[in-house]
Amino acid sequence: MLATSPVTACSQLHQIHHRYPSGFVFTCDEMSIMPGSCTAIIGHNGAGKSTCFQLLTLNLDPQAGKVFFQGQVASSKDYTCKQKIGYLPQNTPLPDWVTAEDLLNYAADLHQLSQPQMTIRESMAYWDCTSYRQQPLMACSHGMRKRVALALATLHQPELLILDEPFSGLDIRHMKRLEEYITHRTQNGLSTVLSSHIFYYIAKLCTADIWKIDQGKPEKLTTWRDIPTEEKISWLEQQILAPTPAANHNATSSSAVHSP
Amino acid sequence: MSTHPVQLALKLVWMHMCALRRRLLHKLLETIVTLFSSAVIAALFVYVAADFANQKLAMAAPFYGFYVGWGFTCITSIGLTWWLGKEAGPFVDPQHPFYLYWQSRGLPPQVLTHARCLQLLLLLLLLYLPLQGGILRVMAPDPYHPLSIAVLLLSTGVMISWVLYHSTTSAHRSPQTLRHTYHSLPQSSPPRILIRWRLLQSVYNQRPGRILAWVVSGLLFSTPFLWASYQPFAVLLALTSGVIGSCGCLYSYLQGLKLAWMEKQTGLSHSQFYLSLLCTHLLAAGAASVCMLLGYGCTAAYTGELPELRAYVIPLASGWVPFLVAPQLFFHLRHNNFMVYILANTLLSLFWATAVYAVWWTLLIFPFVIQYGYQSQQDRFYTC
Repeated sequence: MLATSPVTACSQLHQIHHRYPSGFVFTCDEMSIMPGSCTAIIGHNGAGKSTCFQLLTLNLDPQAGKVFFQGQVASSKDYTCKQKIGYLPQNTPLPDWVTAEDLLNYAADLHQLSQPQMTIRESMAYWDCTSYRQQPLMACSHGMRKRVALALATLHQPELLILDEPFSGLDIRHMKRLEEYITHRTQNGLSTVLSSHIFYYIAKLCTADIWKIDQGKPEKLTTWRDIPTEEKISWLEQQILAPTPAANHNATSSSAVHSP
Repeated sequence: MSTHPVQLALKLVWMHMCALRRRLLHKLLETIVTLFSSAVIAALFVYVAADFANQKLAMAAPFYGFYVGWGFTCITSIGLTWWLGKEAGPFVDPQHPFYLYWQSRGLPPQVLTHARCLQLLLLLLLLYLPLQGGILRVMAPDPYHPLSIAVLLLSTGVMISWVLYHSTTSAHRSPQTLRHTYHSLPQSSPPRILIRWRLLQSVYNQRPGRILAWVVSGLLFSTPFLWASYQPFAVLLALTSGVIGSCGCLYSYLQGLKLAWMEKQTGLSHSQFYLSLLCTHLLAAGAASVCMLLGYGCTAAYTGELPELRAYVIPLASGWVPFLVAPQLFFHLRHNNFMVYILANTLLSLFWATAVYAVWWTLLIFPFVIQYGYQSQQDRFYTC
C-alpha cells in the first residue's frame, strides 16, 4: 500500500526508474502533486524536466515504478485520465496554415465540451486571441502563438495543468493574465505544475513544494513558508547555482590535473 | 581609392561561397552520404524513366512513346526547378543574415543587389543549366529537337521567377486570410473529428494538396482511355496517381503531428488515430475511383461501346494499392523525413501493384496488410 498523505494526491510518481537508449536515467522515489496546489519544478537544461512532464502527463510509461493519478495507478492507455490533464510544452509547436478559431473548435470537439462555442469565445477573449482569430498562425508572432497554445491547453479546465516555461514570449500584460489564471486555479482547488527559469513567478505563484531536478533525479527542496518574495528568489538562485555533485567531481578532477 | 561595386559584390559572393564550403566540410561524411544516395536515386529514376519511355514504350506504342518521353522529361524538369528554386531562394534573399550583416556594416544597397544577381547567375550557370542539360540529354526522345530548347528556356525562366519568389522571406509576404473552415461537430466520435479536420486541412489550407488533387484527378480520368493502347502504361499511370494522392494525405497527417502535444491530452488512442488515418486514405481512394469511373464513362461515350471491365478494375486496383500501403508506414518512419515516406510508399506499392497486375488475387492480402500495419504500429502513437 502506498504511503500517502490523508488527502489523495492529484498526481504521484512512485519508485520510478526509466532509462533512455542514450543512457540518460530518470529516477524518482516519491513525488506528489497535491490538489489545489501550484508546484514548481526547476532545473538546468537537460536535467530531466521534460521526462518528468511526460510521466506526469501519462505520455510515457516508466520501465519500473508507478504513476498514480487521483489515487489510481495510471498508464499511457488511461485515456480518461489524460483528458483531465492539460499540458503546455516549452516550444508550443503549432501548424502554420491554420487559424486560431479552427484550432480551438477542433480541440473543443476532441475534448467533447458541453458548450463548445461559449467556452471557445471565453477562452479566446481571456487569452486575447479574438483580434487575430482568423489569421493563419504563420502570420502570428511568437507571443500570439503562445497565447493560442495556452488557450488550447486550458480550454477544458484540466484538473492538473502542466506548464513548461509558460511566460517566455509573452508581453507583460499577458504575463499578468497568466499569473491571475494560475492563482485562480489554485483558489478553485485545481493543481498546477509550473516550470520556469524566471524565479520571480515561482516565488510568487508557488503554493506547495519546490522540486529541483538534477541529472534525472528530482529532489524536494522546500515548501514555502510565509516569507517575502525577494528572499524566496535569492534562495532559489542559491539553490540552482549550487554546484551539483557531478560538477564538484569534475572540478576536483580538473584541479587535480592542473595543480602543480 | 574607391572600389567598383561589382568588384565588391564579387568579393561578397566569394565570401559566401567560402562559408558554404566550410559548412559542407563541417559535416563532410553526412554530406557525402546524402549527395551519393541522392545521386544514386536520381540516376536510377532517370535511367528507368528513360528506358521505359524511349525504349520499351516506343517499341510497343510508338505514338505514346514520343509523348511519354517528353512527359517524363518535363516532369523531371519541373521537379528539379521546384526543388532547386526552393532551396536556392534564401541565398538571394535580401533579408538573409549574410546580407543584413553587410548592410549594417554600411555597404551600399547597390553592391548587395549586384551580389544577389551574381549569386543567381552562378546558380544558373554552375548548377541549374548543367543539370537541366543532363536531363534533356538522357531523357528527351531527341535532345536536339527544337522542343528541347523550348523546355530549357521556359524552365530557366520559371526557375528565375521561382527563386525570386522564394527570395522574399515568408514573413514579408502578405498573410492570406484563411476561411473559417472547421465548424464544431459536438459529440462526434474522435476518428470522425480527426478525419474531418484532416480532410479540411488538406483541401482548404494546404495549397500543394489542392494542386495535387487536380493533377491526380486528371491522371486518373485519362487512365481508361490509355488502356486500349498500352495496358502497362495505364496501370503505371494509375499507380503514380495513387502514390501522389496517398503521399498528399500522408503529408497532411505529418503536418498535423505538430499538434500532437494537444491531441494526446484529449485522450485519443492509437486505434482511433489509426482508424482515422486509414479512413482518410480510403476516402481519398474512393474519390480516385470516382474520377476513374468518369473517365471510363467518357471512354464509352467517345468510342460508342463499353470498354471491357478489366480496363476499369485493373488500373483501379493498382491505384488503390498506395492508399492501402501508406497508413501502414506512418509510425514506422521518422516524421520529419517526408522523402523517405515517398520512397518507401513508391517501392512497396510498385511491388504490390506488379503482383496485382500479374495475378489479381494478390489483392486479397489486403486484410493481412491492415492487420500487420495495425499490430506493428501499436503503442507508437506519436512516437515514430
